[in-house]
Amino acid sequence: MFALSEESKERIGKIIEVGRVAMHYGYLPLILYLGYSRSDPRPSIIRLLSPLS
Amino acid sequence: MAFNFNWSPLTADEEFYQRAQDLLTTALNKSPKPPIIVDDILVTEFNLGSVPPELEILEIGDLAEDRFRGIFKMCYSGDAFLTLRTRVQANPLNTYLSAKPAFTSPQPLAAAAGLTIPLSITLSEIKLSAFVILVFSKQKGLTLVFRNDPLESIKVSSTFDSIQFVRDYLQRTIEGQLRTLMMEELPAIIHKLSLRLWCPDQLPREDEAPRESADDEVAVDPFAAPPLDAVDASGHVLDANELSSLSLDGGFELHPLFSQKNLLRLAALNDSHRTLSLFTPGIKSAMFRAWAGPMDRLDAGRSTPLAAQGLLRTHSVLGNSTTYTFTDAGSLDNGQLPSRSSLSSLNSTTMGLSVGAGRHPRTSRKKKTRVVNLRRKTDTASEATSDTGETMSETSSMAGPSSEPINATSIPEEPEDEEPIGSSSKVRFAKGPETELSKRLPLSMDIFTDPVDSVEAVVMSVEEKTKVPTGGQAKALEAGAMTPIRNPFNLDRKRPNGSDTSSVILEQAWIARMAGEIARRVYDEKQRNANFWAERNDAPPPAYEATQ
Amino acid sequence: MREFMDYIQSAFYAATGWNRDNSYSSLNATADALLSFPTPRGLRITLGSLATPQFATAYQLGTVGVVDGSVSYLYSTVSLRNAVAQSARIPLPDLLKSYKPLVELPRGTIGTGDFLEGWDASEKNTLAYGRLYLPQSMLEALVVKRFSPTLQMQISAVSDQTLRNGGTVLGMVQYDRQRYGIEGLASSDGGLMGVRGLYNFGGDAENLKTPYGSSNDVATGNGIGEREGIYGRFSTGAELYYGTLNKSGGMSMGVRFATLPTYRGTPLTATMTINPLMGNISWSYAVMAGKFCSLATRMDFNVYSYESEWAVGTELWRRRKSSWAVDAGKESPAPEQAPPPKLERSFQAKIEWRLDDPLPAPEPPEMQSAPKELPQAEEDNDKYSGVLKARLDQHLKIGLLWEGRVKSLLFSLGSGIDLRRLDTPFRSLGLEVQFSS
Repeated sequence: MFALSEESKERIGKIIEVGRVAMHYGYLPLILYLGYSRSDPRPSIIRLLSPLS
Repeated sequence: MAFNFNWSPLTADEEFYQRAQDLLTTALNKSPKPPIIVDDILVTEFNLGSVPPELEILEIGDLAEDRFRGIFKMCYSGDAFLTLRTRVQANPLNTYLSAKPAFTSPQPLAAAAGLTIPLSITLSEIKLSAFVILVFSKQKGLTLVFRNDPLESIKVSSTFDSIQFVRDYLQRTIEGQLRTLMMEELPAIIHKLSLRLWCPDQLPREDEAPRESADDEVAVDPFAAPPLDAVDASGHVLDANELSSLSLDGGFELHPLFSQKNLLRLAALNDSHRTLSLFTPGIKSAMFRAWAGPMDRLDAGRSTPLAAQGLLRTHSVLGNSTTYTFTDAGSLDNGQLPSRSSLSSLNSTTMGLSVGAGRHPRTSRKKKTRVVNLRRKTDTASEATSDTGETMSETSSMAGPSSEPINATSIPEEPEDEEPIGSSSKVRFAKGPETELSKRLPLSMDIFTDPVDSVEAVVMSVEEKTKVPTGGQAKALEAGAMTPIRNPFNLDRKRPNGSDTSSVILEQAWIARMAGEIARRVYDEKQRNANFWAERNDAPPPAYEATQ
Repeated sequence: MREFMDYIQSAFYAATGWNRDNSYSSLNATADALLSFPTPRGLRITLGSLATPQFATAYQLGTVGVVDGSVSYLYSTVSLRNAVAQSARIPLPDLLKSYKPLVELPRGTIGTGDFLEGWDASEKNTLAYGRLYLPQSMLEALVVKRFSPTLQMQISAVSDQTLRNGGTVLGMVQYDRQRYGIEGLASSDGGLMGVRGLYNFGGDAENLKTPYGSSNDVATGNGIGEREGIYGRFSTGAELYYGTLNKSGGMSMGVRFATLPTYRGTPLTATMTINPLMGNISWSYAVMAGKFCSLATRMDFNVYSYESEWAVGTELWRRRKSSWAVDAGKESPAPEQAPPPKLERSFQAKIEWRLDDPLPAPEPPEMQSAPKELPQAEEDNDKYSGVLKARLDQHLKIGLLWEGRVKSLLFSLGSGIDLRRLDTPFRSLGLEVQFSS
């Protein structure tokens, strides 16, 4: 696409890889945090995580 | 050093092609197929063509009766062809989506509908050039490994030839697949085929893989050489003519692959590598890597340690495959292996690259077969001639047990061998081998009943003999083994008559076992007697010699 | 059976008023639900819970060969209070994907949830969903964001170490204007770009301009239905894909005719899709043969390779507290009045823990007079307690699926049978159990 040098391509690739790993491990905690903090009746952690509540 | 193949008898063997097709089909379908191939890949046509590959020995690493290891250079540019049939998926979206996770698939409604098209591909005009490492062992079969990518070029033609894009895509893909196939799958196939051949608990030895025959010869023939001095029952030295008349198969040439002496020397050299023994026998009449000049003539820069003076060796294998014949340097001027004679197989094996079945040994220029004499230092007796070998190589048909005794050992060597080195003269094979030889003739009649037993009986006698001899005799044994042979592979004469092959087969088998046993005895003796090799005044290793 | 998370996602769409069916990719949804239902493999247990109206969790454990499982969480900015999440009360037809008659195109207002009064621009309607498959550490992520009543964006991604580039991302933009809907998508894998469009005409699509709530519409619709015979909606659409990186692509076109719920005859759906590049034509026909039985059939044909396939499928719903009943034929509205009261009566009787004999007479009229729009729907849903689906295709492969509810557990038992190989006919067998709270 664009004329990128090898080095910048490599750097971009590395950045993308780091971002992907970060998303991979941080996405579910992010959802948990959102559910915990934004729910109207603030749930407890147990209630949040337990499937039987 | 190069080989001649007798390629055409392959076509006569229907079973071979069927089996090869089956093996190839399973190999192609075993690895996970790319999603574009919908159905199994079937091999519909498979023909090895009429032009055999060219094989050259580069290096022999390990040599024994039941194992062999060597590096070869193989070139092939013949007319073999292979036709495959399968079904492919014509919808690129279908193959694309089938390999991706379903969660992020766009889930097209009908755009990914499949359309399978039958496809037939023909691979022809295959050009191969590779370095091959060949390892053969009787227990484990044959292993063949390509050291580099063997495929140089190939022509792919298919049912989509009219579509340029598809044709180019197929050419690229198939070339890539073939490279992986040859590097990874072919060794396994050949190994399996070889296991079928040589493992005694598997199929009987009637069928043979083509490539294995090459190694079979390499492995077996070194010990199929007739004895250095051919003596008849009364102990008289037989000359070449008498040998030919006595030989099982008078018309066949006995082409020993290697000079027996040199083989023993090589074995000793190999042992010295392992045991760090100081004994390094000199190998005469051989080309060495350290020598630059003469080798250039053979091929650019490649060392063929066993080629002497531009000698070529055509080797005929069990089952009339490759024939290793030794020719003079002069004969080399014409370039290729001039003579192609095929030896009958020892055990009526059918397959194999028959070498030059159509070519008469007489077409070779000046071939001298040598039969390695392990026994005496006399000129005539020191080397057996190759005549018997030549006579044996006339025909390429299988034969049962012959009616003549295996007198290969009694074939007198051509008086071309120079006097053994004087210093080593005192170290010769003593009475042991002679008596052993004398024992061979009466025993030969038993060959037909059970060659193994007779050979073993002979071997037993040798064994006793070797145990009996004193140090001197042991030294004689050793010296005999190391008697330098000037032209061990100089096969000048050819035997005109070609009789039945069975005698040759048995003769060779017996010779092979004999030689092997002798080598083993020598080694054992050496082990037993530490000073066995002490007294020797052999020349230093040839690598340090200025000239041959 | 639909997964719990998928069910919650539909609840989100319903709460935000997004019509998922107005898209070209759901053109064959009815026939696919009857003919291409997936049979479970191995044993799988799902535990789900709507912890808060905005947060749902689900854990899954399966043994298909190796034991594996997944953990999934869903967060939505819209409260999903109306969703019935308890597995004891989830209406089965919604969950078990039976023949669903078309939802009438909403006119005027959007949605049934919080937006009956109109679009609230300040409300952020976002859904975030993530699922992590544990042994192999594969993450599936989905973010849906509604920008306007007609525009929605959806990003789904899979992140896995074993995939090329670590994973794929698919972004989809959907623009829905009732009468037509357009989707555009782009994928990072192979640079796939695609566009889909659907256009509705006939049937209720003609009445989109009229405001909601006027009773004339219903009457008009009925009138039209009575006057013109079959009353249904035509939809036609096309899709086009192109892979920029791997030079792949495809396209297809389709047309569908489906009767609307107000049609009094046998509900039926007929579709035809064509792939001109591959020469593939496919016809499907699904009909609701009775209140508890649906049938479907599909036929594929390829004009280039002359390959053809056919498949037939059926589903039988189980009536509550009774054996398998197939009500053949259609039921006229008038007779319909009689059976529901009976059930209601017995239902009432059950609740009151008494025999229903003493109060047969006064009850039905009272019940009938009261508007029972909602209870009627619930009652209808409660009639179904299980479904048996079966399909057969030309390769003599049978797929069987039995789904239902036991106590408060939803189960799904399925098997695939290959009649051509009678030595091992059962190609797959599986049981799936779902519990949600």
